[in-house]
Amino acid sequence: MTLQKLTRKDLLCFTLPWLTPLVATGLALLLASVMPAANLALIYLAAVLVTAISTRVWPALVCALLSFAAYNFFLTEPRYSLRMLHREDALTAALLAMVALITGQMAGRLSEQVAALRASERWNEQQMACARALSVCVDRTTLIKAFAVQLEETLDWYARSVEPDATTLSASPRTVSWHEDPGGVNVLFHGSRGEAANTIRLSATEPTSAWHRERLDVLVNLASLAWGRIELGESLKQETLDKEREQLRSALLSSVSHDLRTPLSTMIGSVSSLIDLSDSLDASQRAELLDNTLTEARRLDRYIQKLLDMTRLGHGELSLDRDWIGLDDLISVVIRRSRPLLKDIELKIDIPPDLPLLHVHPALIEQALFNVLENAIRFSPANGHIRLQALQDDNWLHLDVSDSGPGIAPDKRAQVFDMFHTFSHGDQYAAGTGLGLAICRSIVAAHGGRTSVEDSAPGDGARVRISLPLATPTTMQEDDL
Amino acid sequence: MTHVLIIDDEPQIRRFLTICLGSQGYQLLEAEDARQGLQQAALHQPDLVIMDLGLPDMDGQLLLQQMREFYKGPVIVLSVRNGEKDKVLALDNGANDYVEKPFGANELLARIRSVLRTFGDVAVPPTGYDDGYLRVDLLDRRVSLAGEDLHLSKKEFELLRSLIAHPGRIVTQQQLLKEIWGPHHTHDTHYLRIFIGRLRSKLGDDPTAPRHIETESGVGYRFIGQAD
Repeated sequence: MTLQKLTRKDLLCFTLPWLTPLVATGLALLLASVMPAANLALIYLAAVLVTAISTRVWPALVCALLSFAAYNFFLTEPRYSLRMLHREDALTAALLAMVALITGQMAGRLSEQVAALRASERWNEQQMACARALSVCVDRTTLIKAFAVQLEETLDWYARSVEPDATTLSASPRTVSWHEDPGGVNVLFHGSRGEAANTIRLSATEPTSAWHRERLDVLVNLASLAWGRIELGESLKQETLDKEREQLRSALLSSVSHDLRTPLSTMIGSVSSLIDLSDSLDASQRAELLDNTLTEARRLDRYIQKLLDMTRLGHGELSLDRDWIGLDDLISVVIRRSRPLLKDIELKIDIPPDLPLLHVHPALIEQALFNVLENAIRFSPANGHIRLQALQDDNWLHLDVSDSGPGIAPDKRAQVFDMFHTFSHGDQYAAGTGLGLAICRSIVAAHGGRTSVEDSAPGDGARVRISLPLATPTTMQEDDL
Repeated sequence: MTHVLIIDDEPQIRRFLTICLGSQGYQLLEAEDARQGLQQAALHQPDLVIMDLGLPDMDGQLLLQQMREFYKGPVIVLSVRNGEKDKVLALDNGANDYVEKPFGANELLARIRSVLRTFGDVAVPPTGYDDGYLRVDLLDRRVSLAGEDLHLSKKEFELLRSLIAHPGRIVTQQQLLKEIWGPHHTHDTHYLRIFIGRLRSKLGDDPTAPRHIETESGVGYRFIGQAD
């Protein structure tokens, strides 16, 4: 753009000084028969004016010289010679030179002012564009990328993001600064401790001048504001996250220490009794102690499984490995796993035939259902019953597990699925870990499903429902049947 | 005397297995890493190998592949719960069954008996099955339930035959899909689910308390019927 303007102006500087006298001479020769020579000098004056306005002082002077020479040569006596007979001719020459000088200078100054005005207008626009571009950036990377683009556009230099130099001295934290060296300029983004967190390298295509420095100062200032805003926002976010994580960690720690210790206490107690008091125990007592140990070890195993599940879910590493699976297949595995826990509790299963296949991650949905069932077993009295029902409702499959325990009051139902939420029912029912249903909710939610506590039938306790969306499998081909 | 090789880096597990299997009259060989395991297997040609998938010096899957180059006997893999992919890979690499850690003694002993039994007469594939209720004649392609003839479609029969051919042992879903529907259908697990469902309902097998076909979730199916 600037280059084009320059060449056009240059073109005028090179052509107008000789073109305008030429045109003026032609015109003057045409009018020479009807006008006195002195008036014809006005045509040359016009030529010099045009040149002076359109170009600069020097081309105007050249134009004045050429104009005078042409006027003298073609139009004044003696014609076709440069000799001057009249004093007026000298005056004409002086007049032309003066017009060239004064107008040329005025025009030059004007065009410089216009150019300066245009440049400053453009610079203002660039600043606004830069501020706009930086204000929409919400993280560090996009900010640095956007700023590099702005620098390239403004300075016409090549910008690229480079690895920050570790030895860079610390500056004020969360600001942006720039440093000049012979090859160009480094723009440094400082982190919360003032260290250079990111750097943009600008390779100069011309020596760094005051013009560049002024622009760098202003743009870097804008970037500094945006950078500070993002840095502060992120550290605030990090603080909230840290706080939440800390709360979860302490809840987890108290849960772990309680839930790992309880079965371990039983196991250590039982086994040490067997070793130390072996002689004074009868066979049935020994068997009971061994049975206790096994039960508690299994409980520990289930608890560890939950912790593992929770870590997987909590870290977002869970990737669904979906497969088509029949509900009866799923339920059969869950029943096999929960059989040792059931003891005297009766499990009633009510699955309508011809249910569609589910498209889920089988192991995860199994775990979700197992957790609900385990919960139901915990709250069911000995000789109680648990009902496992499946029903299809349009594109949803509901799995209901109802126990015969004390039930859950309607106002407490929402909290059931919260992490580390456990109900206290005195010593009658073993307290849960507060993980099982939370894990169940996460798994089901990952499948696009819902978990809820529903109103239970009279005589039943709590009814926990897992709802899963149904998908249609691709149809089988004729020859595959 | 049945020789069993145990490859596990945990001394406590090896000790527990030694006591548990020793009490049942099995002769034990022990290896604490893959290198020792390969040596022992080559040297003694045990009747059964029980191996852990997590070993210090080599990936268990690789050990399985290397061992299968010279060892033809049954292999049981010890795996962790929810590691379906590992289980399937181990079965593909030549394992005959797996037991989830932590496991009870009875569970492991039952699996050992099952693989040893089917390996004992592996030379002669079963020609049929009869437990007094379900009768399957694989040669005549006849199935009867409590004395009454049962009509199975071609694919249903093939599915039943594949399962009966490996009694007590797990057959992976990929294996079944490949055998019955062909190699292009190994991902169409819904085919298998639908046919297992139909087969179960025709055999009157309650999936929640199966007598014949047991589900190994995410891995495959196991024919658990006990022939007379």
